[in-house]
Amino acid sequence: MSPVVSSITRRLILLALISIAGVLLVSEVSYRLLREDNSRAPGLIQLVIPAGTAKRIAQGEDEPSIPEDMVFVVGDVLSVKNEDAADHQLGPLWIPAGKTASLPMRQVMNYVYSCSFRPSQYLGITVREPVTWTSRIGAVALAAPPTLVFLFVYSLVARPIKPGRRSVRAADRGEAA
Amino acid sequence: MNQMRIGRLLTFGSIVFFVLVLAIGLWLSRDDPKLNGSQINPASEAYDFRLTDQNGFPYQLSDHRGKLVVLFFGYTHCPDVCPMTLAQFRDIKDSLGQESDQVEFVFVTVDPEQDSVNRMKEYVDSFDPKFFGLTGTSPELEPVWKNYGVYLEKHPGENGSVDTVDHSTRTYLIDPRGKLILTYPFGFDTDLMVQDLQYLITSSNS
Repeated sequence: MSPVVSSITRRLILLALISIAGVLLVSEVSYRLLREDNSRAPGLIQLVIPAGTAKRIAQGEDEPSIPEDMVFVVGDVLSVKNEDAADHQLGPLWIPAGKTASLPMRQVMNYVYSCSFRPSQYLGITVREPVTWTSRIGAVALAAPPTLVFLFVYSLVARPIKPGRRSVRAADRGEAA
Repeated sequence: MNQMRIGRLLTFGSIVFFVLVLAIGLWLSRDDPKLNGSQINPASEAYDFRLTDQNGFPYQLSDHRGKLVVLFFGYTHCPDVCPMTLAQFRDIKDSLGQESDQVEFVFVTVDPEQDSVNRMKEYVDSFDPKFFGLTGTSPELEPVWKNYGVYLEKHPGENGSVDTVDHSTRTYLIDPRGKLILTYPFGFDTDLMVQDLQYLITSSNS
């Protein structure tokens, strides 16, 4: 391998390590600072509508404790079991009496749906991209190459690779000996 | 000697690469639900009804077993949701191509006073003459609305304008055995609905 190629290779390897470390640091620090509800892996979210719910709501009693806004991540499956004698609607789900309805959250979205539980009759549903360790590694994999290119170009300006530099030094060492 | 070493390294590297790709592929395809819509479990028997289509012929739901039925409730003077949904049905039909022969798109009125057979024909045919536009009398339609959980509230038109109806915007999917298996909220992604229909067509053919 020629000395120039060898210098470039060594510099690239060193800068690649620096890029990965730098990007990883920035990514992890921002992740810790901006951590939200979507910092989890997708899963199954199960809710049960108890028997007598429609009757209780009609009598003005408290509705089942469902948050006003529900936040999901893409890949979550919302499953609602209706144990009541009446059909219910919970956001995008219509659940006939005695049945279970389940909906996989496939896409990022932010909607307001009607809901037969809430006095306002509305329910906010937000679906976000999940932030998991795989997406964090993916972010590093996407950001590291351009950072490497940037650092490499910068290094060429700051410290150019001079052909023969090494061989001249080696010759000097030979003369001295 | 050096070339042999490089060759071995390349072979080993290729094996590792393919094993990795396979592992990532398997990981991505893990435990993925096959249907995209809101699935009803256990699937319930779709309420059977007999109404009149846009050509004046009777339409009995149970006569259409063997096909997938995509069902929507709306009215012909609807300014937004109904035309958008029927346009989406047209896109779905186009995407399905020849497979659309196994799917029926059915539009049931929530406004029988204004949606006559002629009015329904004019409206449905403007989207696709193969769609079914069903109407009937209020006593015929009320049990249908009730059994499909259709909410509706009529507002009389002012100064001679047409009546408007607030109504639920859900789309229902009935399988070839007459079971109500899926519902879709308004605005659901067209491609995902097409995927569901293609999956169900393939499953019912196999």
